[in-house]
Amino acid sequence: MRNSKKQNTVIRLFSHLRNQQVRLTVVVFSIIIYVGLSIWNPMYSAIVIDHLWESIQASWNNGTAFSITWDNMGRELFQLTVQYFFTWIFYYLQSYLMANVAESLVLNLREQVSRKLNHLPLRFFDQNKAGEILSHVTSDLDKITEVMQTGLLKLIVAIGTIIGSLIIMFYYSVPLTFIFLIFMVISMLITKMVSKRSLRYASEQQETIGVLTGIVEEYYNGRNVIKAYNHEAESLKQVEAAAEDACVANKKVGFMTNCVNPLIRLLTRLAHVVIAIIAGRAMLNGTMTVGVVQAFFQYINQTAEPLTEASYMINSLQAAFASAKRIFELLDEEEEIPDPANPVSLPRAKGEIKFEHISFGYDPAHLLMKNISFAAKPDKK
Amino acid sequence: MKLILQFLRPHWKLFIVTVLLLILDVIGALFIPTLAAQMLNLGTSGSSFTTLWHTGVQMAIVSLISGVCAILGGYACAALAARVGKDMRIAIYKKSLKLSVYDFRQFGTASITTRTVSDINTIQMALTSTIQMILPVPVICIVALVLCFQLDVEMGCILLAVMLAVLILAYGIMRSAAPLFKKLQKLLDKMSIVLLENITGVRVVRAFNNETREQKRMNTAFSNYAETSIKANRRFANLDGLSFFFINLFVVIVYWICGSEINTGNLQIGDITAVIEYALMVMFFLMMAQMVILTLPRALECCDRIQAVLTHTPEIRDLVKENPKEEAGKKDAVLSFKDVSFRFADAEENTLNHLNFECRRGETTAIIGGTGSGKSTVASLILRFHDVTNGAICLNGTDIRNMKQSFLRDHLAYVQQKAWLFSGTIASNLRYSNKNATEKELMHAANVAQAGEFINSLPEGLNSFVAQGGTNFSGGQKQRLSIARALVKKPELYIFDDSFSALDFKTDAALRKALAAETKDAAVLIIAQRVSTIRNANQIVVLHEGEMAGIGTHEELLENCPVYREIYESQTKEAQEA
Repeated sequence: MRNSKKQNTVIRLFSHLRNQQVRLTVVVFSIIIYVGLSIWNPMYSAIVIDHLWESIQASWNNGTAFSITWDNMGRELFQLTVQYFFTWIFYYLQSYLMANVAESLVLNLREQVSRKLNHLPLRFFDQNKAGEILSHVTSDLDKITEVMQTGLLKLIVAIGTIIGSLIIMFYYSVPLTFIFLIFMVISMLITKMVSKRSLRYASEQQETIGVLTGIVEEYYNGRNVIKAYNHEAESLKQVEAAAEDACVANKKVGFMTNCVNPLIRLLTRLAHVVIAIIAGRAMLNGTMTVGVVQAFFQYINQTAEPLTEASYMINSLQAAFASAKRIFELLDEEEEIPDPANPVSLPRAKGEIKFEHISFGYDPAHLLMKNISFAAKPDKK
Repeated sequence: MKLILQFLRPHWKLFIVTVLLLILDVIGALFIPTLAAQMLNLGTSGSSFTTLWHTGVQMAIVSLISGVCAILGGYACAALAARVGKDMRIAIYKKSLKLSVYDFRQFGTASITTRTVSDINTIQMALTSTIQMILPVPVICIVALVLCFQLDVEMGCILLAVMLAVLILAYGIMRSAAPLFKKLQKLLDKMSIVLLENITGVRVVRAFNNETREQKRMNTAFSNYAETSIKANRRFANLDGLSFFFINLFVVIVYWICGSEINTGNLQIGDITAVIEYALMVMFFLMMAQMVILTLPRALECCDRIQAVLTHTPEIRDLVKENPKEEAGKKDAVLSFKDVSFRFADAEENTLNHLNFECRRGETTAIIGGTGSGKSTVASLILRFHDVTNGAICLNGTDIRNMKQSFLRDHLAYVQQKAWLFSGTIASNLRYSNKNATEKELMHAANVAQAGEFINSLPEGLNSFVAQGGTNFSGGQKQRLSIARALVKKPELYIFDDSFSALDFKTDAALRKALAAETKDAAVLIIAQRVSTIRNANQIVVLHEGEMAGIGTHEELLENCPVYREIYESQTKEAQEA
């Protein structure tokens, strides 16, 4: 039940993009080329470096000076430059267009919400706090924008890059890639552990901030009474205690947030070390070339970060879908009774209003008015 | 900016430790590519495996040290930000206590609450990111350049050139994007305001059939926001992509130049990797730093807002250090107004003009007037929530400005028009003026205030829960509890500012009768709108448009004061009509 509901939200969200098909096609196209180039670039640089190394060694052997000409390395370097250039172009293109796509989508949603607000029954506004409604429309939609704009893009590019890079890495050396993957799995496990703790601390922090806000709001509102009864010192003590609690919770959350990246970097570097030692031995034995090794390192760099950020990216995506679900719930709310198709028009209303046998309650189970009838005649109070 | 430094100063040791740890982490981070390059060099120059192994172990050790420093640095940074935040919050609250009613109103409760809670949150996050992402940048640049120059001077120069190019580019784009982000924030605020108006004012909108107009307004706000947001993000995409490109260009140049350098033996093949790694690392940190810098204007604005509260000179201050001595024989007149005039700071006319009267011990003085006559201001002046513009108010003969505010308020008990209770229990609220009051004293006060009955009807009695503001009680119950709270204090002067308005006629009469007995040794000041409440006062002061229109007993005023007669007659007519 829950999964199908989530699917519905996703489908609905994307259905809103239907009118931007041209942009989206270009974006998809750019992504494919960009990812392709990202995977190809290190491979090509491997070829370049190896070629470079060979040429240099040849020059050593021949006793000639080494210089770069068009035939000798020049062409390869030029091609590399052109490749980098196009990588940039398509990266730029996809970011640029995706920004537009995201904003247009959210603008569309916002307009739908504003229209909806004008058709919702008053009951809705009584039952929901103003602050909550406001937060839905502003911060939920902001979350969707952010994810649509960068998060989604990053995720797709990351997936493509990771898959492609891993394929090439396996092609270069199966054992090294396995070692790399083992380190990656460890680091993903650590990230999961930390994020679990982090969530717990985050909710603790929310609580302490809630308490602090409550106290502070109460004291600000009742400050006249506090002053009149000389309770300033006492109130300050309470605020200090609440602020201290918030400080402790804050520290814990901050630490969790700050230690994730260093941990991951540490593991990545240790992976580097192990791989470097093995690759070094391979180079000494001649089973791997310099170009391949440095390309391998490039692939590690390209893959490690997205792999460990994957869980974070997926969380953001989930949060965005949760936001979208809330927005759609709002848009699905029952509307007010619409005006009748053929309303009677009163060209000159006399100003007489009759209540005939009216029963009413904000909650149908608790009626406030039972069978009330009266008339308010014009010219009478 | 100054604000942050001011709050960092007490924690300077922690700050230095944090920065040092992060710098060590960063240096380690740069050292690793150096070692990796060495490995590559060894690998290609056919050295023994043991040397390779040793270099590997060195790399592992550096990674561990760097990692540990980074984690400890993260902890220190979090602790620092948490403490600075706590100090700021306490400072704001402390300052708020010193502000007068007028000062506070200029900021507004909502704004000050936001400043205390969420603005400081923003500042904390900005502080953390600045320390972690911006402070290391100069260190990285310098160390990277040094390492690069060590390998090869030409490479060093090129790296320097690329770094400068990226810095200039980043600076240029940030300058053009920063105003956009500022505008964006304002548009977001505007959007929130329009939305909130429509949500809270939905009844008004519907009643006046203004849905279409409001919808248009909302949509305009939305599309303005979207437009600016797109523009800002495009600038970002520019910077990101271009720096990306520059670094890759640098890579190609490196390959180009390194070729001949390797040939001549200045460089080894592995060093290419090192140089490229340095460049990438510098680039990465520059990118992160620039992202953080974009969030700084918002944090700086929060700093300004907090600074505004902390540096605001309070309107009402204690002008003396010592309180006047309590005289042995108590004076007859507890409180006197001597030719008092008052004007609000931003008003064009005086709210009160030439008030002259005394509140005597054992007597009840009443102040009556229509809406806008300035009655409630009188109470504010007595409590010294505002200072008089002319004349003087004296407590037991001493000008209230010549005593500490706490001394003054110790002698008074104030029951305001809109009753406010604090979260806790009924008992904790009643004990507000005197922590050591016994339950007997509390119930006695409650009984006089006609609240004893409903307190006893509650299952928990005096220990019943009170929600914030007392919202779980009715208006009348809240008022009676506020009155009971004042009675426990047993002051020299009671001030009842329109405090009986929520009571029905019967309760009002019973209350005043019990009150008369309870307060017979003190002076009582009742401010009211209804003649029926005050007609038995010893002295009635009639206020009309801020001036004293009459003073005397009910009978005297009916005879001599036309304003009072008018008020009396209009109220009796109302009663007759209803």
